[in-house]
Amino acid sequence: MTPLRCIATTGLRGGLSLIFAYAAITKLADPASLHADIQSYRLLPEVVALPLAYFIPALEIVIALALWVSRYRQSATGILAVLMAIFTAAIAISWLRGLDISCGCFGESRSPQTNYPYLIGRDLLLLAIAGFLIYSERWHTAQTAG
Amino acid sequence: MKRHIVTTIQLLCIALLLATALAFINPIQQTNEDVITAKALVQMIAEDKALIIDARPASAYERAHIPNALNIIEGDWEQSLSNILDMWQSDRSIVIYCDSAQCSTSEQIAIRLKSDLAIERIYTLQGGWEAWQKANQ
Repeated sequence: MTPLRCIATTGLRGGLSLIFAYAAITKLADPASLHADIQSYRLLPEVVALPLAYFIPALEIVIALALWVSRYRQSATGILAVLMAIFTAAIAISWLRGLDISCGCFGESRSPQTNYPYLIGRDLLLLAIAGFLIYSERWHTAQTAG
Repeated sequence: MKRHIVTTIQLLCIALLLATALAFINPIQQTNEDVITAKALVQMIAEDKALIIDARPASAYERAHIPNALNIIEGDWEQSLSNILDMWQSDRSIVIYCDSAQCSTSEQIAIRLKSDLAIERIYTLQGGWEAWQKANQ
C-alpha cells in the first residue's frame, strides 16, 4: 500500500470510528428518545423497536472500537456498510411514505421538518467511505498474497 | 471468508451482550400512548383541564394554533421542558398535537415527557391540527 493510500484509509477509518462512537454515546445518553425515534419510522413493531434502542448504539460502539483491531477491522467495516444501507433504506422509505420522522442518528429527538436529502446524502457518503475501505483492504490483502 | 464470518458473528454477539447490559443499567420506562379526539379536547379546554402543547414548527404555530397552546422550542428541549413545568398544574392533563395523523412528533414528545417528567396524564391529539380544524369549522 502506498503511503498516501495508507494515510487516506487510516484517516477515513478514524473518521468513521469517531462518528460511530459519537453517535453511540449520544444515543446511550437518552435511550427513551432513540426508542421514540425508531417508532417514528413506523416500520417495526414495538417488540422489535425497544430492543433495537439498545442494540443499535451497542453495535455502533463495538464497530467504533473494532475498526482499530486488525483482526476485526474488515468485519466491522462490513457490518458498518450493512448498517448504513439499512439506515438509508429506512429513511428513504419514510420519505416516500411522507412521514415526519426524527432520524435518531445522533440522539436528537425532534426535527419538525425532516431534511431527507441531507440525511440520505450523509448516509450514502458514509456508505461510500465504508465501501472504499472494504475495497482498499481487499486490494491490500490481494497485493500482499500476490 | 470463513474467518470473516466468524469475526462478524463475534462482533454481533459482543454487541448483543453489551445491549443486554445497557438495558439492565438504564431501562426505558414503558409509556402509555393515550390518544384523545378533538371533540374530547374541546371539552377539556372548556373545563380548563388541559395544558396544550403544539409540536409543530414555530412558523406553523405562528400562523395559527389551538388557543393557549404552548409551542415546543425547536432544538431547546430543556427550555421547552421548563416552560411546560411553569404552565402545568397537577389537575391538568397534557395534550400534544402535531400537523396530522401522518406526523409522529406529538407521540415522540409524549414519550419524552413521560420519561422526563413522570406525569401520567399525557395524551396526543388524534389527527393533530388537521383534525382540530375540521372539528372546529
